[in-house]
Amino acid sequence: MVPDIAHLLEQFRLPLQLEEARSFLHLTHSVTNYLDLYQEYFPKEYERSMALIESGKAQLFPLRGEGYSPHEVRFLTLVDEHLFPLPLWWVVDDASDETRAYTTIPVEPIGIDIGYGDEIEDLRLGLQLLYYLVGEVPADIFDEIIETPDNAIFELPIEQGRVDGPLLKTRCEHAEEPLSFFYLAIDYMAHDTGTVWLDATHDMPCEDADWSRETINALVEQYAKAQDILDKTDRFLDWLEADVLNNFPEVRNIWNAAIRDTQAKERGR
Amino acid sequence: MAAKVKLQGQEFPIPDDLIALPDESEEAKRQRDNRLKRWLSQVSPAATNATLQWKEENGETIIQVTPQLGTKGIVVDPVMEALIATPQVVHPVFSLAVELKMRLASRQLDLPSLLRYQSRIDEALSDGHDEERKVEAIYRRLLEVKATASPWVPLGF
Repeated sequence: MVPDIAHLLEQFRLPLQLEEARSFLHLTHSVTNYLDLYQEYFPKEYERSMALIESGKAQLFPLRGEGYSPHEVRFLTLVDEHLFPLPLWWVVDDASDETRAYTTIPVEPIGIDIGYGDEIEDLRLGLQLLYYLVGEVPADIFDEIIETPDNAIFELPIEQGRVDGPLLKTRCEHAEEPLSFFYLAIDYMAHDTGTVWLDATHDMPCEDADWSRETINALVEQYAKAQDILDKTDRFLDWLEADVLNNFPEVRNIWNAAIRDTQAKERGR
Repeated sequence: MAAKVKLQGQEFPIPDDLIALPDESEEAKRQRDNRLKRWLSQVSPAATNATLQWKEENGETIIQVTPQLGTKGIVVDPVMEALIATPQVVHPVFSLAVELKMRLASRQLDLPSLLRYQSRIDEALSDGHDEERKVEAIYRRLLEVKATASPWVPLGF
């Protein structure tokens, strides 16, 4: 087959320019790293892929101009399926030798990114109400969404001031589920969850996640944590939206109390 | 009449008008010799202070040019000597890339062997960058250095 011959010849083509030689070394380093991780995280699939390479049915290195070899595509797909999400639609499908993820893991956040794909008006009602509570949007955006008698919630006074995260969490912990997850929804909105998946944004992207075991394990751990936060936030928002008239005031009470706690703490310093 | 110059093992013809004499006076010959030395300095800077020996061989004018000992290449020689003394090395990025390509082509690469190469690849890329930084520094200094007129007219001018 012509493509096989072309690939065979390509392997014999020696670099003639320094930049070409350097690119090949970077590629070799990256290929080795992918293989090492593949063997570590998916040993059975790794053995199958290596058997294909040894029998000459697949190549060890990506073909010229392509981003990944077949076993690397398999590895990335397995990462996406079993460890954490990868934007395969561009990492793999649109890959070329120039866009290959040589050293860094392409982390695509799954949180809110206002102004870059998300607008407050398009978010679910519960989140919009929280943005109102924290003073990010005025009450009038709800004019056609929340009608009488539920719109009475906008008459409730809201304390102004900073909220100390741990104090809000303490207040929430005294409430019953799912109101007790209120602080998680606030952390989610504020990109303060401690997980790169929910905290990274277009303006503050994650660009230093290297293909190392430590980083992969951290991303796996953080992804599980992010999923838990999303699940609890959803449960809280479901509860809030189910009875806005009665549940929003409870949320507001905790919020106001946390502001007062924060002010008291600051006065005591 | 055709004239040839013999200089440092080379022999080549020279234009007749370069050695033409308006008369047979010593002053005319001195000016001719200086003119010829200036012209020859384009070929070899050492010709600037050379001794010219004129003779006739088989109907040709032969000018034997003998550079004076102790004066040749005062400026150039230390640089040339340093360059000659510098050990010849292939850029580590090149040599390692070729080695890996050969092993890849002969199907001698697998994960264990590739893992053994990782540190060498890191070193080659790092060493290569060090060398390029030095070349870059030399390049910048050459750009910054004040221009000085050459004692010899460059070839082609």
